[in-house]
Amino acid sequence: MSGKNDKLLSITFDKLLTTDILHAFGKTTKIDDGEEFIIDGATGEKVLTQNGEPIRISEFAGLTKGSEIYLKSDLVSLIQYVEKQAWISQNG
Amino acid sequence: MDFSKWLKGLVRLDLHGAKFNLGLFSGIHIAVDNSRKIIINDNRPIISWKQLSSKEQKELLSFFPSQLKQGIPLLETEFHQSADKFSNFSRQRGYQDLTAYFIDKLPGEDILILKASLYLKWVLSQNMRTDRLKQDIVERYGSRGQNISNLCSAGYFETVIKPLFEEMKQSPGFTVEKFLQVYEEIVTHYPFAVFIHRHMDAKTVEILIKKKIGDMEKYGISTLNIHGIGRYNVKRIKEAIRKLKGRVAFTEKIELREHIIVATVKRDHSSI
Repeated sequence: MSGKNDKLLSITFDKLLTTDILHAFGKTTKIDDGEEFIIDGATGEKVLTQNGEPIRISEFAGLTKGSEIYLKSDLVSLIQYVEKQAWISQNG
Repeated sequence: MDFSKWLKGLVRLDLHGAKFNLGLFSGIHIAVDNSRKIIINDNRPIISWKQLSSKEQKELLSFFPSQLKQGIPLLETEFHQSADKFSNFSRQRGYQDLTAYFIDKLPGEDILILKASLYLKWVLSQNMRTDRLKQDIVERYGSRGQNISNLCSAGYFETVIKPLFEEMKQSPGFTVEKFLQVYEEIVTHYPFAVFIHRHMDAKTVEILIKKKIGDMEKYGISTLNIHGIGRYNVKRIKEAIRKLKGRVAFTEKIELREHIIVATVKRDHSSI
């Protein structure tokens, strides 16, 4: 499978690099009620998914375009991500 | 410097000028550690994080926001693999036809549960682990998610709910709202079926089946299907039927295949 127009289709990373990846986007983590959530380094606010849910660092699945959309690793987020990518590839 | 040039530089350093063109690759993977700074495996560059200098690590991270702006997703490996798997599954005719059929008939959230449940059913048929998928559905959608998932796994969207819509729409004065009232009853109570789970003990199974048989008349149902997967559930269902036989009037037909049981019960109208 090859990319088009010198453009990659995705960048993937090992889970152990999650913290480094988040730092690249100015995000860090904070413990809340015994659980480690992703927060915005500048505002200290919890980062939310497109569905408005906070993300535990263990659930972080990556980012996709749309300013910055943070993904959770659950099944519904997976379906929404795949459908969005399919729509983008069909409609540009 | 752009990402492509930076990567080419990395390749030149480590692969002694081997030909490199970003457009040839579908993706790049950042691994924690490999033997070399960058390798090309299966036509895919794999960068080893720990082999990079601190400066190179910072440079690499600095490219990600601009890559994302160009529409290139940045994905954790396991999620990426799952997305590929779901993407392939979602091209199946059965999935596409059923979800397209219901898309303008069911509430949006139920469509999403149905999609998730169809995937769950397929994963189960491939003998892969489903615990996490089931948990995702139940955690997000509660008992409604579990009920739709049960109905889907037993094929009721194809065999009961779709035919129901087709039948209802022939009636004069039909509206989707009228269908949704009946659909809601099915999703909430599924009067024609009972699903036995591992966490139910023998007494609970017996009480549940008895109640469902009792409800058949109320809903005008002639047969009740009792579903269970696994040795434990098969045993519980058989036991419950045997115990109820003396006290409740019904006839049963049991289909058992590789520890999947469907016991179909027909109620005798004489008494309960």
